[in-house]
Amino acid sequence: MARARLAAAMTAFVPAFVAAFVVGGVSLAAPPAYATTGPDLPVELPTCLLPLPLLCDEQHEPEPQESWSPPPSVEPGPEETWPGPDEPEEEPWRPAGEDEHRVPRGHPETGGGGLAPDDPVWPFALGGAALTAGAGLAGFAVRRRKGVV
Amino acid sequence: MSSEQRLLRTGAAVVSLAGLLLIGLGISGFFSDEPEPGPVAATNPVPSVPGVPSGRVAAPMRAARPTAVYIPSIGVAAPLMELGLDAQGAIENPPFDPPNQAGWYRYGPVPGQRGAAVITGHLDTRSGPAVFANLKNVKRGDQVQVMRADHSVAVFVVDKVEHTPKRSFPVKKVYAKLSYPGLRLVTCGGTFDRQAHSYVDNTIVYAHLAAPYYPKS
Repeated sequence: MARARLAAAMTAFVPAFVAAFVVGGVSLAAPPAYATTGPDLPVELPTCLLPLPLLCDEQHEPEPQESWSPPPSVEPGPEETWPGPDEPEEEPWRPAGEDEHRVPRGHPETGGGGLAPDDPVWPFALGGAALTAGAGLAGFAVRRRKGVV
Repeated sequence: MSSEQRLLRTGAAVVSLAGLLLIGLGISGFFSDEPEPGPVAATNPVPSVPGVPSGRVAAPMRAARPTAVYIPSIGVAAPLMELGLDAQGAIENPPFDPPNQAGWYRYGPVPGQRGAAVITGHLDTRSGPAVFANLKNVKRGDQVQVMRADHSVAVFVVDKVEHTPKRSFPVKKVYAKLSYPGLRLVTCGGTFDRQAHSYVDNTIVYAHLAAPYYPKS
């Protein structure tokens, strides 16, 4: 029943859809319709054109009062450097003179302990367990002996 | 005494003795596995300079900033930084990072000049070996080469290696006023005191300048 209803609807819908599609396609493919003037009629140019500025030919120079600031995303190139404050020039290297020689106090601290061996815990745990087991066995033996006697 | 009783007593004795033995070996450090110091950084081995007379002491070189130290026998090739004094008057230490960093003491002779120049480096960082992890394996006669900023190389030859407790660090010997160009390499050694977070000894290598090399201009 439902299938029959669907078939009926399709039968009704498809021709209408095809017709609408064909009409729309034809209207799109056709050239636009202009209100044409005949060849005998003079062409009148519009006289109300607005003068547009020629941006490509004229550079807008900033006024002397205007201040220019770089856009915020501008960063110096790899070869450029920001003009910084006056930095003192690095002095050329020179060795310490004999009068500057100092004997440090104490010894250098040149170790972090990364190579120091870690003390394992398991021998102590296993040894303690063995001692406890030995004591238990000894106690059990004594009790058995008393029981026998 | 029944055989069962004897077995129990023997078992108790054996197990107790084994426990005591384990605890004793644990205290003695028998089970401690000391990590082997591996190479700190992959470096091309620097060959020893052939024909350097180990017994001869060369004349002092002109002063130039040291830039790197090479110890071919233990595979050390490390950049050098300047070390000064800290607020307590002790010598500054190179940083732990990078681990392959050594330093030379700025308020002393420059390596190659007359006097005892001092270079220090870490034995290890908190997690692994550092630049002088194998300094204790340096032997008498080994070369220590110090590259300098003028491209000259000061070639030292090791005189002796000393292991001294830190509490009796030989300050006068290390920073001695020598009549010849000498070099001392210092790092830590001995056992690690976990409470003090410090090694108890220092390893000190004493060397003398055997040959200066200047680039051909």
